[in-house]
Amino acid sequence: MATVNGYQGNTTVAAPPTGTAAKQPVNTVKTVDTQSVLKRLQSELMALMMSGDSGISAFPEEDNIFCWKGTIHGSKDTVFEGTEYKLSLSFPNDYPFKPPKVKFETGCFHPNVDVYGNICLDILQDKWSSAYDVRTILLSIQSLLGEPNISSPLNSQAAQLWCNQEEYRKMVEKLYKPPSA
Amino acid sequence: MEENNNNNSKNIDNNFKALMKSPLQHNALEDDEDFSPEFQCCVCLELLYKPVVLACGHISCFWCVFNAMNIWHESNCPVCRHPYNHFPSICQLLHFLLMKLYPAIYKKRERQVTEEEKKSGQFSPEVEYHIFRSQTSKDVDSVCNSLHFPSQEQTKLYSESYSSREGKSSSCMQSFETAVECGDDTTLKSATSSESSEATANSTIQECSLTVNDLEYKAHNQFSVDDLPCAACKRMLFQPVVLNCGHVYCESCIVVPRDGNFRCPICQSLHPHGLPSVCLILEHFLEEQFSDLYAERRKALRIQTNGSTQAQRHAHRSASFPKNVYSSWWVGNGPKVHVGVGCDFCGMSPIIGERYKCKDCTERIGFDLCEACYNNPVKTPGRFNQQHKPEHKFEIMQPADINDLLYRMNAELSDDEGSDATENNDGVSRTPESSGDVPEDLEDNTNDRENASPNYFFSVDASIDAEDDSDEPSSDFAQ
Repeated sequence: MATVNGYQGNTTVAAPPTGTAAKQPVNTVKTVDTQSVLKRLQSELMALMMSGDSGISAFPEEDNIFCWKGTIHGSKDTVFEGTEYKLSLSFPNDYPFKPPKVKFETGCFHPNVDVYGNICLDILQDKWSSAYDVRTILLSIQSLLGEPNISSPLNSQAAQLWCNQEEYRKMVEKLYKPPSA
Repeated sequence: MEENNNNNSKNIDNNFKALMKSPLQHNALEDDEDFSPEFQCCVCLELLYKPVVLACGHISCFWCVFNAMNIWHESNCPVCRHPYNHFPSICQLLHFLLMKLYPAIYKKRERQVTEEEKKSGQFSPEVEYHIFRSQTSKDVDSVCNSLHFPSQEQTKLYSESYSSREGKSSSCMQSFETAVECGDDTTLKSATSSESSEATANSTIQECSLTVNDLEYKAHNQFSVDDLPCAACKRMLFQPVVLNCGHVYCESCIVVPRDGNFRCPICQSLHPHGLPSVCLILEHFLEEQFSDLYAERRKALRIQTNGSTQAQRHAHRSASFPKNVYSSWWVGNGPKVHVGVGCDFCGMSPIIGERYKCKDCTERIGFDLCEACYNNPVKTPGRFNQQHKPEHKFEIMQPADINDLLYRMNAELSDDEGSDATENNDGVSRTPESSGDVPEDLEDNTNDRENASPNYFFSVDASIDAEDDSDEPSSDFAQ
């Protein structure tokens, strides 16, 4: 479902800017109320708790609902089987009209993830849609693990090694550090 | 590992309670009434409020669609990415249907949205029941005279007008009753095997009529097949399509003329996208609620048509503008593109071609028309309840200068990076190097802006236009 896009730098927001200028902040009133962002995140949390998806989970960090910690498990029959990765999601004030910033907290040896944990995934950048939510983001990243986009790698070593799945698996095992809770 | 997990889950339990109990919110856990997930807005995840149906048939709330739109070029449906260039009007039929189906939640949503609107100072259009009924019932003449959106009390807040509406309730009730009478006629006509379908209709009425304390809702809380008429054939909708103007027809009732310029028979506004797709959510609802009647309509239609019309219709189902319309302007050929400005009548956003800005509307959001709508004046208030009057004067606005836009964005960028904007004046002379990818290029540049203000306005005029006024030739027009 998700495809990988050319990397656009260490950024997440690809949505258009307003036409207003920084020097003349005319439109100071935000039309997206933080209240509605809060509500949306609460609904997502509820839905996520109820859904019981296997292999993914997420929860807000302490008492800040704008910062979540997510967990994904490597899917079966992929080189990532048996591994578990922690991610951080931080939501902008105008979520869901802008995507959250999503990063791997656990090191991940993957063609589309760099050493800092930045992820190159189009739906987190210019292909973002306000109908995506935490659940779909995590599922997309989970499927990205098994189906990387080799043509625009962030980690070229991983991209080169991908064609040799056995070696790749060894590399994953070697570099894998289980996340400490 | 396991211990950690246990600790985690305990923390999670506590956190969950804390987060859900936070005094700021009062929704999720205490919703007494439950609504069908079909009517959940995919953006705010709540019950649709003032629903807008896109050409692809997907539905969102008025503000959710507006906030998710793109200011640079065409927008895409949040669900299926179907491109569209026009912000559709609220679908009044769905609005009143939801109001009847879920009176309590809908009322709550109304309160929420009204509060948000008061805070932001921008208002969604009001939808009044008697006008809606007069449009969907037989009285087509009055419909043409009546406005797209009601003009009374535009400046008043929604809540205020709500109370004032009670004063008019007698007239409202009258029109409601007459409408019901008309509706009964049509039901009888349409129900050829009337007995079975009537029985289902009646039982659904009983099922769906909900008891609410609120007087306002009591008047119209009887949901029936009459609430779902096709604006053309007046029978129950079959394979409903919702036009850009918000009016709903059976797909089979729409005949697209050869030139492809289809006008809504009710409001005469041009539907810009070719024929929209069937609104599947509404179709499922109809099929579920009135299964017998729906099956009958299906059978009848199959006899009437032999499939050829469908193929012909699909030809009309295309995106409205070619994609390069937006980029061609940036490189100096092609029509003007008014970034961040939408037409207040047809909803075209951004406006392509000439932009006519009202000089007399005082609302911050402004009132703008595209060339086509300027030349075919309409007496409607704005999309955001602006108090536009026919005697208001217009002026032609020039689109914001690309260098200016780039400079401003650059300045904003460097501000974010903590350096002084004036040192980065390279940005001023930056011009697009290749055609086609200019808007994307711009987007890339702005990626770093963390606190990008979340929104754009239908008229982004203030900052950009303020400067342009001095050197751009602007002429006055009286409409």
